Formats: sequence, C-alpha cells, structure tokens
Amino acid sequence: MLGAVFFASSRPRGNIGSMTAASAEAFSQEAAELRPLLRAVAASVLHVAPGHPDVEDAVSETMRRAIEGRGRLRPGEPVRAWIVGIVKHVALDAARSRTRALKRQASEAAPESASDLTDRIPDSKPSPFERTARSQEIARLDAALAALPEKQREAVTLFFLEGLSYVEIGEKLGVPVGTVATWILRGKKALAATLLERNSP
Amino acid sequence: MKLTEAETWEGEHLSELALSCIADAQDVVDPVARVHAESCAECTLRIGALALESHDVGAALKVAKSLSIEKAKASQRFPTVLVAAAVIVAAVCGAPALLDAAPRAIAWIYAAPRVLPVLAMSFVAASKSLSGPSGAAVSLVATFALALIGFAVARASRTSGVTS
Repeated sequence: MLGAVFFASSRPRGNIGSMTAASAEAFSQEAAELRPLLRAVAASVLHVAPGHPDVEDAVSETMRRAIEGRGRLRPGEPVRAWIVGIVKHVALDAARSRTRALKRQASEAAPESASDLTDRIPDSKPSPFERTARSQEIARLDAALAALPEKQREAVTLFFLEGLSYVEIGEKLGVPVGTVATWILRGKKALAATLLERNSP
Repeated sequence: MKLTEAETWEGEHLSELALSCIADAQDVVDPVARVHAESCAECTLRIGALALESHDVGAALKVAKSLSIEKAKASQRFPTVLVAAAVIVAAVCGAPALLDAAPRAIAWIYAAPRVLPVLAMSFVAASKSLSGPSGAAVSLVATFALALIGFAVARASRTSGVTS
C-alpha cells in the first residue's frame, strides 16, 4: 500500500555498516521504500511541487549515493535519518546550482568578479569562526532544551536521543499518544527556532 | 494507539500534529490520513519540511550530547588523585632538605639589602654592553622564542577545545 511507505525505516536496523550481499539487497529495498519521504523532503527544500522533475532527479541521486555509500552507515545508525540527511544535501546542492545558473544567465555579458571566483573554491573544513559559531549554537540548543517544560523535554530526549517511538514514550510516561505528539512537536519547534537564530542577523 | 479524528484533521488537510507524526515515521494516524498524505501535494510538502526539521533537530541534539560526553570524559581524564598523591610524596620527601635550607634562606634575607643593589647595577651594566650586534642577536632570539611560545599557546588552547 502506498500510504504505508512514509513509515519505513523509522528504527535502527542493526549492523548495516558491515554488509553481506543479502543485507545489501535488503538495504536497497529499504532505501527504495523511503522514496515518497525523500520526494517530500526534496520538494520542500527545492520549493517545488513533489511531481517536479528536479525532485525526481534529487531522489535518484540520493538513492545512488545511499547505495554506493552504504558502507559508511555506522552500526545502529537509523537508515531513515541517514538518507534524509543525504537528500537534504543533494536538494540543497541542486537549489544552489539552480541559483548559480540563474545568476550566470543574468550576468552573462558582465566580466567575472573576484568574488565569483572565490565562490567556486570548495570548503575543505570549517573555519575557526564556523567552529566558534557551532559551539555557540550547541550552547544555545542546550539552553533551549533546558528551558522546555520537564515532560516536554523528557519526551524530546526519549524520541531524539533514545530512539523510542511515540507509543513507547506514551506508555513510559503514562500519557496518550496525542499528548506525546504535541509535546514533541512543540519541543521540536522551539529547538528548530533556536537553530534558525544562527542564520538571522 | 492512534491520534483522534480531531487531532488528525484540520479542514480538508491533515493537522500539523498528524503531519509531524508522519514525518517522524510514527504509525499513529489512521489509514485514510496516510493515503491523503501521499496524494495531497500540499501535505506532502509540509511533511518534507517537518521531516527536515526533525532531522536537523535530532542531528544537533546528538552532536550536543556527544560534545557534553566528551567534555565530561575530558574532565574525568585529569588524574586529580594521582597528582595530589605526588604532591604529598614530594612535600614529605623534600621536607628535610627544606629544613636544612631554612638557616641559609634566613641568612640570605638578611643579606638581601646589600646584594640586591649590586645585582641591579650588574644588570644595568650588562644591558648597556648588549647594544650593537650582540643586542640585535638577543632581540632576534627573544622574538623567535616569543613566536614559539605563541604557537604553543595557540596549540594548547585549540586542543583544550577553546575554539571547537
């Protein structure tokens, strides 16, 4: 059933990093089941409809990278989160190339400036400023997590760090699943807002 | 355990709560909602955005957790007990020598008013004699030493996680 595929690969699937041929086959199958979610994420990053050709390109590129690079998946790491990370980067790259192509078209007659050339130099590793910004961001995130109401913080920690499902969290905390979903949604929004602060002036 | 009808729908579309559950791969919405999520472009886009949000928050929380574990390990790595034991052993072993040196130290304190002016004058005379080529060599060596110390300080601050 089509509707069920959004729910594939939500939990860690053991030691996928060291694969046999059979488990490689299983990995490909599992990655293929994630296509609808990958399409949704790519469409969201590219700001286009899920049926747009760029979305399908991004998903295909993601599948290729995931299958080729599956050896890099650490033991116990959730396949779903790993592939969502890949599709995010692939879609962001596609969005950047699209922006660059548009810029190039607009300034085709104009001579190339020094800043255009420096834009092309690939980043090798984060600069000291980026590392400082990252550690400040982590400190802000810690503070934002600590500022959440106790139950909300507990639900967020159990979901994101312990890998429990909403139902398991509900059973553990003795609350309905709707309450857990609400706590996690609110907590996620608060933490995401903290992460976005870095990009605001 | 499933979301209620009221929690799942918001007019014709799925509620943010239901979309968030789907984005987090939680099987807590009814099959009709799941089919809608697949077929509605607007809901699919919102699922994508929420899945990204979950991915980013989850990744950042994991980084924060691993950093706090590293910091805790680093603070545990300093061998406080061993260092304290070494200081006590050194103090006990050095005590006889210190006691022997005490009369000499007292004698030196009494001699200091006479010795210090002589030392100061010697220092001034030595400084004056270092003008010219030998003085330049001294400043060159001092500059090199300062550069080395600066490099060592930068390395030490980097490894202690000041910039990371």
